Order: sequence, then structure tokens, then C-alpha cells
Amino acid sequence: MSEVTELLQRWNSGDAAAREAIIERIYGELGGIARRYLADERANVDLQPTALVHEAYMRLIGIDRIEWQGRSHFLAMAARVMREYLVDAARRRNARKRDGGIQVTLAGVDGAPDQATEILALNEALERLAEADPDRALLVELRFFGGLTIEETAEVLDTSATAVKRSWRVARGWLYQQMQGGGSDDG
Amino acid sequence: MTTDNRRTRDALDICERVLDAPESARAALIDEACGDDAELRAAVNSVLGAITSADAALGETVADSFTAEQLVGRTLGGCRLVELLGEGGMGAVYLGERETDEFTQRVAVKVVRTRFLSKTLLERFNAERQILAGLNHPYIAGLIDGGTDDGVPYLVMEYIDGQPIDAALDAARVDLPGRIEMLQKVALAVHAAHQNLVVHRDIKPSNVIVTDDGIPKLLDFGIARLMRAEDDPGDGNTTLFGAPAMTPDYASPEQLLDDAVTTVSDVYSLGVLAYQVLAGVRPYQVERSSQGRMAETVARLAIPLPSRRLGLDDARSKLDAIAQARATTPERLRRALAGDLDNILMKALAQRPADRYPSVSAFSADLGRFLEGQPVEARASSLAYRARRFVSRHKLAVGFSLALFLSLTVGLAATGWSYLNAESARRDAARQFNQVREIARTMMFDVFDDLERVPGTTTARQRLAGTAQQYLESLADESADPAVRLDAARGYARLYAILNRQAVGGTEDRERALEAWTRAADILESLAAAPEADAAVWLVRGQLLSDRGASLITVDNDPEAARGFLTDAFAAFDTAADRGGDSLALAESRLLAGERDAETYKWQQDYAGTQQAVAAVMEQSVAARKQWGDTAAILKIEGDALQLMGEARYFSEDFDGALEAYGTSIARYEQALKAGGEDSVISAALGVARWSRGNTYIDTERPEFAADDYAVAIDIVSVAVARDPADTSTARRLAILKGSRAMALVRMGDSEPAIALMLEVDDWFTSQARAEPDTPGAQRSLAVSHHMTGDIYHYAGEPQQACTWYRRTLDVWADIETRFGVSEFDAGQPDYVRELLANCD
Repeated sequence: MSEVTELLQRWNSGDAAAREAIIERIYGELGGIARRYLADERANVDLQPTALVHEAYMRLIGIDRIEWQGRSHFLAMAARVMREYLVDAARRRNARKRDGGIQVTLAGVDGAPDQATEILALNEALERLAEADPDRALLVELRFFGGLTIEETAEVLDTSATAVKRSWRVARGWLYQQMQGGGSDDG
Repeated sequence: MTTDNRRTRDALDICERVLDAPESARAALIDEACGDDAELRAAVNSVLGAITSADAALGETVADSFTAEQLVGRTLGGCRLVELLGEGGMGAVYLGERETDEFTQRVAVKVVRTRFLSKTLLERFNAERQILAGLNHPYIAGLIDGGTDDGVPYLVMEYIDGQPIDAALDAARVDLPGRIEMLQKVALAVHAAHQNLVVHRDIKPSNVIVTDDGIPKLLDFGIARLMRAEDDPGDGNTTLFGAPAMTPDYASPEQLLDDAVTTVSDVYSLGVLAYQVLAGVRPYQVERSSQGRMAETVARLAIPLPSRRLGLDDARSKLDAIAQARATTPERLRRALAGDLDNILMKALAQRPADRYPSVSAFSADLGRFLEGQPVEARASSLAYRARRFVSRHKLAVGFSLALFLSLTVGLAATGWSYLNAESARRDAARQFNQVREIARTMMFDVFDDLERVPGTTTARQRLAGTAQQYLESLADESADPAVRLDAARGYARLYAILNRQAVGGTEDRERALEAWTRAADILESLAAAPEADAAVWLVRGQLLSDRGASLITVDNDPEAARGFLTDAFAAFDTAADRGGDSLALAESRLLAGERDAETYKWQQDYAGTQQAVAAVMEQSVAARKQWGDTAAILKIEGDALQLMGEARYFSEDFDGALEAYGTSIARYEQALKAGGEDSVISAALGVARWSRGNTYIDTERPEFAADDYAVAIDIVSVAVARDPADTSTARRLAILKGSRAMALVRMGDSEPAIALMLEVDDWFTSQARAEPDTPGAQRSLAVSHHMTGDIYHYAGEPQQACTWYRRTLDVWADIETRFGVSEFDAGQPDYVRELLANCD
């Protein structure tokens, strides 16, 4: 059993110190990978939370050697870390707006600055959702920032794929409204 | 938890239940759940509405809930997905099979993964599709099809079965000349992309696949990175999952540093590729761990000469293998690389973009010179090389031994060296400067002209104009050389014309346009001040003044001021002629200014003056055609002038005279097209001439002739609309033409097609008015369109329908009256419609 697996199991059985230790590890590992992927943004590539989280996960433990519950905890944690990195990156990105060189690549016209703005807007809307409805907010965090599939999300939240789909659709609608600026306090 | 928060949460819960319930039960469910809580009910309805919009905007897609593997076996856009080739953040690529009549075609199908916030992704995906659709090149993997199937956006691409260029060449044991030829083909593909304003940004062996027939195919960025899952993991470019990681080993310094990436960045990456393909080793490897500190890494990048790189840190066995794959020995390979190839590759790999070849074609051309044994453009800058070059330069002139001797003295005498250094620094600066100049020129003239013929490039043109301006800035500032400054002035003049054409709507563009004009005028004034200023300066100056006159007429509607500029233009042309500048360009420019001068009279409604001015232009034109022949440009100007003549006569109510002038104008345009004139521009003018003649036929009660003229004009303008659907002014022209034809048809008695056509036109104006609810112009157009629809029903003998449309017309006018006020020009309109309505029930 790897050290991380052991930590996860200890955390699972309520050991707060283990939780701290594992967060530290995950931060370090994910941070390194995230930085590299974000560096890839220079080449105008989309952020790839899925690949990121999975790669970190593989690195840390090895997917088949881990208890189911530990995996869920891990994915949830990774999604949170990713969110922080992505939002941070989006802020920095918006801060240093690119110059006016030709921004057309074979992959398309550069839409990245808009994406950064979108991420920040989503993050804000998500913070508002978390105040009203923390469960749905967590679901969105897992799906969007963690890049988890419906099935993986269901696994983490310990519910059915159908329930996740339904909840996701509703939360997405609400966030969409907020981000379009159409959301009012009663929405 | 606050009340608001609780309500939000309750609303979301209720929405979930509502969406889960069958359509019929939903209303009751909302009633039951909300009771008499009106705010909650409003919240639920608002969220339900948002969910519908979100679903519509972002798509409730299959891909969302299917994993990449699960799509295998499905059919998208007529392609069966056979096998997953690769997967990435943006989507997945499949090997697909596509049934055609005779055989099954293998294709690559790229599917975009739509998730939350996928709108940006979708836009990019569509942009990629549009760009690829414009990139037809034998050495670029082409786009076959694309679209959305069952909510899943996909691209169908040519499937390339082959190996990455380095492996393919090694396997076939291709020698250096063969490799260079292959690289030149790749350069052609990259050049084609550049001509379409596309910077590849990820040129590397795995993106250049060579088929078994030896044909290189440049893969598209997205696909390429997705397809590289099966690549050699040992080259440090693949992550644990085979997912793409950054490939800093091929990226240009500016890419690594997040600076502006241009076509010259592709020159660099192509340089790395060439280095690897020729020398067998990459120039360097960027260490993974150093990627956080790009700036340092880049600064430290030291690229060894290709001939020296061999065996630098490789085992003898590897060296032998490299040489063998090139059908030679290590020694010979080293010698073949040393010298010109070293220089060519080092020039492509220069740290600073300005030190590189200005374009991939220049890079390729130098490789070609090497193959043909001609002197190459690239020169090394090392001390040793300079001395060598010094020797070889003097070899013929002074004899070899003396040259050697000279080189020794140069080497010994400090003053001599510094002189040589200064001299070479000056040459380098000049070369670099010429490159900038070449780029600016290419951008402003060649690329822009190409772009005008490429569909959907309005935005690209705007970007290009911006970029070109930056280059021009450096031209105008950095040099005192009159020839270069004249070039810069030409560039600014061109930019002015471009911006003005785009300026119809935006004041921002107009200000930028005027800035460009002023820059050009300033440069030309200082150039013209020199007593020895030649005819070229005065010609450009005249053209610039004439262009300003033209836009004062059409954009600013100030014919008086325009005439002032045109008078100055004539004076400048006279000076040019005095200084020996008798040329076709001068003749054409003068005619054009004359035609514009005639136009100023028309805008002042001085129709006699217009006719006089046109007559003068026609007289000069006859002389010009005698001297220079029937050029497309002259014929086009004659066509324009005759059209003015037609209008002047029309407004003087000389309809037969107008018809005759329009007829001749149409004939001139057709001749111009045959003489190879610029298609789109002349066609547009031809469309206008046909339209004008059609209008005249309507007024002289000959609708059947009018309908024919309109039909031809509609065909012409439809082509232009298809070319650039984003260009609403052309689409508007098309709608107007169709409305005119509908009127002609109904007057001929063809009521049914007339009504159908008019309703189509009215739909278009309605959608425009909806898109711009707060623009008075769009609302006014809607009123006019409704009115015309009413008229057409009236002529068709359907008074009921006519009344309905007149009522709609009045509604629009009423809306305009309350919101914006009716302009003086339209003052009588609402009352007129009321009068018409008085006859209705």
C-alpha cells in the first residue's frame, strides 16, 4: 500500500491530520501538473481538468489499488484544487491582456481571453450558488472544474447518474442565467 | 440562510421535480409546490426559462453523458466511428468509415466534447471549421465535412495513413537532397496556411505525416495533438496518459515567452523540424522541470551548429544509425551540413523573430539555392565565419593568397576588426529592416488582396490591418531612406482605403482611417519637399489626395471639400507628369480622380455639371486607351463615369438618355471583366448598373426589361453574399434588389412569385430590425419594406392583405415617431400611409 493510500484510508476513518497531509500532497502534485498544463495555454490549448486530475491521481496512487471511498474523496479534493488553479490562472490571464498579434491558429480564432472571463464569472456565480445550495454547487465544481463525468460525479456524491444529470441541468440553467446577467435575487 | 437563498434552493428543487414530471403534469406541480407564494413561483418560472435557454445555447448533448469509448460504433454525419484514435480535453478523434457510391472511405472524425460553458469551445470549433474549409492544399490534411449531429459537433477530416516525417524519411533512407525537397513541400503547406492568415504554431514531426506514397501532410493543430497518442513516448513529448503536453522543444522563443506569435514563429518551428530531419537530432531539449522558468530557459538556449551537434552527446552507434538513415557516413554528413546548411538552419532558428527568414517561403527558397549550388542568403555571424567570408569574397578579385594575407591583417589589426564589425552590424540592421519592409508590403498588398477574395474574412482583414499598421510604424520611424518612406506612405494610404471601406458603421474605424491618412500625407509632404523628389512621390501624393476626396464624397457627404482635395490631386499628377512620370498608373489615377470629380457634382444635384465632367473624363479616357490599350482599370472607370452620366440624365428626366448611358456602362464593365479586371469589384459595379437601368425601366413602364436586369443583379450580388455572409451591407443590397424585382414582377402580372419574393425580403428586414431594435435606420427600413409589401399586394389585387401591411407599416412609423422622431425626409410618410388606410375597411 502506498503512503497516499494509507493517508486516504486514515482520513476516511476520521483522522484529520491525515486529511491535512493528503491535501498538502495533492496540492503539490496537482499544482505542478496544473502549472505545466497552464503553460500549455500559451499554445492556446484548452485547459484539461479531466486529464489533469486523472494524471495526478495516477501519479499519487494508481487507480486500481485504492479503496472506492478514498477515490471519491480524492476526486472531490482534486476538483477543489483545480478550481483554485483555474480561477487563479484566469485572473492572471485577464490581468495581462495579450498584445494585438495575429491570434488565429489552425485550432481556431483565439477565444482564450473570453474563456478566462467566463471562468471568473462562473466562479462568482458558483460562490453565490454555494450560499444557497451547497450540494448543487459541489456537483458543479466536480463536473466543471474537476472534469468528472456524470458517472464519476455520481460516485463521489454517492447518488445515481440520473439524479446527477437532473441536478446538473437545473444548476447549469441557474448559473447560465446568473452569468448572462439575467439573474435577479429571486432567481 | 437568508430568505433569498432558501427561495433559490427551493426553486431549484421544484425545477428538478418539474423537469422530471411529464409535460402535462407540470403546471399542476408548480401550483401545488408554490401555493400562494408568488415570489417562489416567479423564481421557479425564471429558472425554468433559464434552463431552456441554457439547454439551447450549450446543447443537451449525447457527448455530455457518453464517454469517448461509448461513441465508438455510432454514426455521426454519415460516418461510422470505428475506433478511438485519441482523446483530449477538447474532444476525441476517431477513425471513421464513410460510405460513398463506390467505396468505403477512411476518415478521421473529430468530436468536440460539450460540457458546461461549451459556448466558447463551440465557437472555436466552428472557427476552426471555417478556417480549415478555406485551406485546400495537397499537403494539408483537408476538411471533408462538418456539422452537428444529434447535438454533437463534429469535423470529418482526411485520414492520413503514414508515419511522422522523421521516421518516414529514416525508414526510406532518404538522402539529404531528398530530405530538403520534402521539407520544401512542408514549407509550401505552411505557406498556404499563412496566406490564409493561419499560424500553425505546432509544427513538429508528429504533425507532419508522410504517406506511403511519400506525400507530406500537415495536420491541423487540434487533431494533431489528439492523434499523437501512439507516438513514441520516449521523445519527452508525451505525458503519462498519452495526452498531449506542451512541446517546448519545437516552440519558438516568443511562444515560450508568451509574446506575440506570428508567421515567423512557424519559421522557427519549421527550422527545428528541419534541423532534426537533416541532422538527426533536435537542436536542444527543454528540460521538463525548467518549464516554470521559461524566460531563463529561453535566454540560455544555445543552439549548436547542426554539423557540430552531431556526436555532441550521442554514442557512436547512434551517429552511425543517423548517417545510415541518410545513406551516408557520419563524416560525410557532417561535411554536407557544415557551411551553408548550418547557416540556413541557424538563420531560421534565430532567437529574435526579426533575425529569422521573414517567411517560410524565404526559408524554403534558401534551401532551394543550396540544392542548386547557388549562394545562399543566410550568413553566419561568428567571428571565424566572417573572416572566412572575407577571404572568399576577395578570392577572385585579389587572388587567394593575397586574400588570406588580407584576412590575417584584418585579424591582427584591432581597428580593422572594429571597422568590419561596424560594417556588418550596419548590414545586419539593413537586412533586418528589409525583412520588416517585406512583411509589411506582403501584408498590405498581397495578403490583403488575396483575403478579399476569401469568404468570411472581414474580421481577419481587420486584424491584418491592425498588424500591418504596427509594421508600418516601424518603417516610417526607423528609416530616413526615401524609398522606404515612400513604401510606408503607400502602406498608410492603403490602410486608409481599407479602413475607410470598413468604416461605414463605426466612428472608431473612421478615426483610425484618418490617422493613417495623415501619417501618409505627412510622410509624402516631407518627401515632396526635397527638390529631387521624383515622379513616384508626386503620383502617390496625388492618389492619396484623390482617395481622400472619394471618401469625403461617400462617407462624409461633403462634395465641396472633396473637390478641393481632387483639385490638389490634379496638381500633384501634373507635377508627376512634369517630372517624367508618364505612366499607365498616372493615366489611370488621373481618370479616376476625374470620375470622382464628376461625382461631386452629382452629390450636389448639379446634373448639368455632372454630365460635363463625365464628358471630360470620357475624352481623356479615349486618349488614354489609345496610348495604353483597353486595360481593365480604364474600362472600369469608364463604366463608373457612364453610370454617373446615366444617373444625371435620369434625374434630369431624360430617361432614354439614361438608358443609353447605363447600357454603355454595362458593356464597359463586361469588357473590363473580360480584360481580367478584379472580379468582385467590377461585378458589384455591374450589379449596380443593372439595378439602375432596371429602375429606369420601371419608371418608363417596361417592367419586363426591369425584371431581367434585376435578375442579373440578384445573381451577381448573391455570389457576393455567399462569399461573406457576415457582410450585412451586401445582404441588404440583395434584399433591396429582390424587392425591386418583386415590384417588377407584380407590374408584369406575375403576382404569385412577386408576393413570395417580397415576403422573403420583408422577413429579412424584420430580422434586421429585431436584431437592432434601437437603431432608427433598421426600423425605418422595416417600415419601407412593409409599405412595399402592401403595395405589392395592392397591385396583385388583394386589398385586404394590402391593408394589413399598411397597418403594420403605420405601427412601425408610430413606434419610430415616439422613440426617435421621424426625420425630415420621411415627414410625410406616416400621413401618407394613413391616407392609404382610409380606403381600407
